Order: sequence, then structure tokens, then C-alpha cells
Amino acid sequence: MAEKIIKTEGLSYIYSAGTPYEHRAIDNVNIEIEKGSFVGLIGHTGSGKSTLIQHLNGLLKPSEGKIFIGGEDLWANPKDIRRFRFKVGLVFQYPEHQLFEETVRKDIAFGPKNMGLSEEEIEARVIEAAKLTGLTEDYLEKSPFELSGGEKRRVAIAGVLAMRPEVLILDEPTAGLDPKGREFILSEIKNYHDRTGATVILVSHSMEDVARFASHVLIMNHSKVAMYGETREVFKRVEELCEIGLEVPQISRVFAKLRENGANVPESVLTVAEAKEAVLKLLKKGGEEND
Amino acid sequence: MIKDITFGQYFPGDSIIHRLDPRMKLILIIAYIVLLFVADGLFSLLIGAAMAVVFYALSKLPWKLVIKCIKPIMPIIIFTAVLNVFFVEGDPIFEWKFISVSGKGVLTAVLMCIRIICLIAGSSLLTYTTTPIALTDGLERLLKPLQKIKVPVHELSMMMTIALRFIPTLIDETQKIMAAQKARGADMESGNIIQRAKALIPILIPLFVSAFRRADELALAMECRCYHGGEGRTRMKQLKLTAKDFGAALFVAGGFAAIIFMNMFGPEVFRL
Repeated sequence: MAEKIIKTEGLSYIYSAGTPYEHRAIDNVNIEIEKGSFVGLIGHTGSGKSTLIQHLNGLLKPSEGKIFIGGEDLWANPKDIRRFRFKVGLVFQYPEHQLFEETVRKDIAFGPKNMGLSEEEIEARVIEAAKLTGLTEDYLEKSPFELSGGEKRRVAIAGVLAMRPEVLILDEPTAGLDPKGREFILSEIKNYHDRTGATVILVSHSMEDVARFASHVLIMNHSKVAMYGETREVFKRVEELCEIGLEVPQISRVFAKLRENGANVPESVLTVAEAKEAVLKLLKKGGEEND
Repeated sequence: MIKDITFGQYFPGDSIIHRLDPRMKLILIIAYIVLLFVADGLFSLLIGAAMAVVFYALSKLPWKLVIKCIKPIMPIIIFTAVLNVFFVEGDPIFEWKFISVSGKGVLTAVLMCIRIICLIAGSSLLTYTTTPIALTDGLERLLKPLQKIKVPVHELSMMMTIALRFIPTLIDETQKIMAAQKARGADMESGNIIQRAKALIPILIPLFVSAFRRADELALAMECRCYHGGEGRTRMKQLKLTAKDFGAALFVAGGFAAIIFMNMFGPEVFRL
């Protein structure tokens, strides 16, 4: 069995405890995430996704329960919490809003500098992270504030990648980008995952994106984990997902309907490429029978 | 941590105090503050304190809110008390070396403490039970006569409304930016003063950038809805004085009368 990089036990978090605004944002979350997996985190707005991911690098302290990163209790020593922030890189929603330095180079270097690395090491990591996010050398000396929205976001993501986190968490990294920008960001995340073997958690509203990239899917609903499992298994549960008010990828829906109508297609089809294969296979088989 | 700074935050409720007209509340709170300073003896000041208790009871707020609003000024209260106890001159009741404490000093200290606590509790009650928007609305209406001497009352109150409206937004934003920088390993809790001040830069710059962006967007949105200042602007929510407002006014007036009476004819002990 693969190593569990993230494990939570009875994790709960209550916002503004003791006031009229009290709200249980996550409730008794127990998950185990395998090292090297690519997890798609899905849920409605307010289902507790953002709260959950902020626990995984110790930004929020759980009201109840425990978190283990690589087998170590995150809150065993609160003074030591920064160590985990470098291990678990978190890219917030609209990360371009956090840029502050004079140059792109300095901004990307902020994380590695906080890690206390040597100058050469920092420089190497900045170059590496810039390359990973498709920023060429001449970007490095520009001010982050003169870049376009998509470029800014790439700089912000590079700032987290430069820490070489073992776990990379991204909160809707493609929100507000055009299709080309989305595609670019997603493929660079995939790239990082493949090249470094890091664990990735991707919060997304797009079922298609999750189906394409994720090996596992985690569904949150009303502050609780509704489902967690391999992508294929989760997207088989079309009806349950609909009950929560979530959708499955369009193509999966089409194939679920086809099965309902008696077509002999596989139970879970996630991407258009898979769908094509399945249809071709079916046509071929049909052709043979007709012969 | 940041949330605690919002001293006197609105606390939702539906009590009679919550429903009072904000104009009346503003006037009454000013009257109450004057009243606290008119009271010159322990007994008359206790009437003032009792009024605060009655108001809090009517507002149905949890009592711990009173403690919450007094906590931040505790150092000031203690400082004032100590200063008064040791430095007000009078017949000494206790002497040791160069330290002397007079009866008058102790009394002044006690009166001062009660006064400050009532002052803060009273004005906090106003902000606990009135939304910031209602408050500026009330203020605008109260200051309207100043328009005659060309004070831009509407513009000022609009600025105040916007400022108040954006406090929670900016606090929210600050927390988000702080979290994002912390996620990149920013260390804001340790180091000496200079290091800590430097650690604020990664938060302040994005905050300013976003504040300007928001201001731009808001100006544009207001322009799109044809905002052109206060002239000829009507209100959706008209403020109306009702029986309960006059009741509250009567109550405060009663308190005022009682304190003046106590000042004039009350017992001579515990007086300044």
C-alpha cells in the first residue's frame, strides 16, 4: 500500500465560536490521501473546501481532530508549524492579489528566502519555477504589476512552486481566466505533478478538468466529506452526485444515458478520448454481429 | 486576532434598543455622556450607572459584551485610578514615607473609574445595537442644518458610509493576504520591531493595491447608477420617530433630573 501523505482524524473547524455567527465549516472529516495522487476537490461554495485546505498547511488550527502530514502530527509543536508550510504549498484563489515585490524574480524568491536557503539555491529555484510556469527570463526583471492577469497568476503560482512543496494545493487556479490561460495553468500543474511526483490537490468547479487530471476525487457537501475515491468510481455514482446538486462530466452523463437505453458501453467514461474509443469499439462489435 | 480590533461591532438583535431611531440614539448618547459629567457625587453617578444597566438589560445583549468593550481600555482605567489615588491632594488617610493617600483621592479615583466605564459601555451600546449604515444615516440627518453654512454633509456621510462599509471587506482581504503570505513562509510573529515592521510590507502593498482597485471599481459602479451627490436624492428608508423614541428620551430626561436633584439635595458624603 502506498504511503499516506495526508491523513486527518475527526477534523472539525468552527468559525466565530460563541457568537451569533457561529458556523461549523468542516465537520468530522476523515481522509487519507496517498502520496503522489492527484486529488480533485469538488463541492459547492460554502461546503468547506477552502477551510479544509487551509488546515492542511496549518493556517487554521482545527477546533477538533488531528492532521498528519507524512505521518507527523501537524500541531505537535505549534512553533514548528512553518516547516509544514514549505512542505505543503498552498495557492489561494486569485493568487495574483498577493504579489508585492518590485520584480517578478524577487516575488518568486519570497518563499525560498523564507526557507532560509542560500543565494544560489534561491536563484536556481526561481529559474526552475519560472520555467515550470512558462515565464521566460525577460519576465523576471519586470514589475509584477505591469503584467496581464494570466501572467500575474503564473508568477504567483511560481512563487509557491519555488518552495518545491511535496504537496501542492490549488484553490480554483483557473477562476477568471480565458480558455487558453486555463489550459496553460492546468497543464503546468499536471507537469509539476508528473515531474516531481508531488501530491496535488486541485479545488475546482469544473468536472471536466477534474475528470481529465485527477486520480482521486473528494466531494464535500455541507461541511462533510460526501465521497472520496478513485475518479472513475466516484463519477459512476451519477445519481448521488445529482442529489448533492453536482454534475458529472458531460460525457459521463451521455454515456450513463446510453447505458440506461441498453447500449453496451463501459460504466464509467470520463473523457472525450475514452468516449471515442468506446464508441468505436461498440461500432466495430456491432459491425461484426451484422456480418 | 484582527477581529478583536473592531471595538463596538454591531451585534444583531431585535430588542427595543435595536429598533430605536438612530438619530434619537445619537442624541441620547450625547445627553448621557453630558449627564455622566454633570454627576458630581457617588450617588448621582450610580444613577448614571444604573441607567446603563437598564439600557443593556433592555438591549438583551450578552453581558460578556460589556466586558469585551471595557477590556481594551482597562490600562487607561487603572492608570487614571492610580494617578488620582496618589496625586489628588487632600487630608491624608494613609501615609508612608513620601506616599500619601487622601480620602478625596480615593473618591476621585472611584468616580473616574465608574465614569469611564459608563462612558465606554454607553457608547459601545450605540454601536452594538445600530448598524453602521443606520448610524451614518442618522448622523447625516442630524447634521443637515450645517448644509446652510455650506458644509458638504451628504458627501461626508457618504464617505463615512463607504469607509464603514469597507472595513470588514478590508479586514477580510487582509486576512486572506496574510494567509497567502504565511503559506509562503512569511513569519509575522517573531523577530524584533524592525523585522516585524518589515514583515508587514508583503501584506500592506497588496492591501493598498487592492484598496485602490476596489475604489476604482466602486466609483465606476456608482457612476453607472447615475450617482451625482446628495441633491434631490430621496431615501428608501425614511426615519420616523415613534412612541418608543420619545419613551427613551423621557427616560434619559428622567435620569438627568434625578442626577441634578441628587447633586443639589443628595447626601453630602462621597461628594467632590
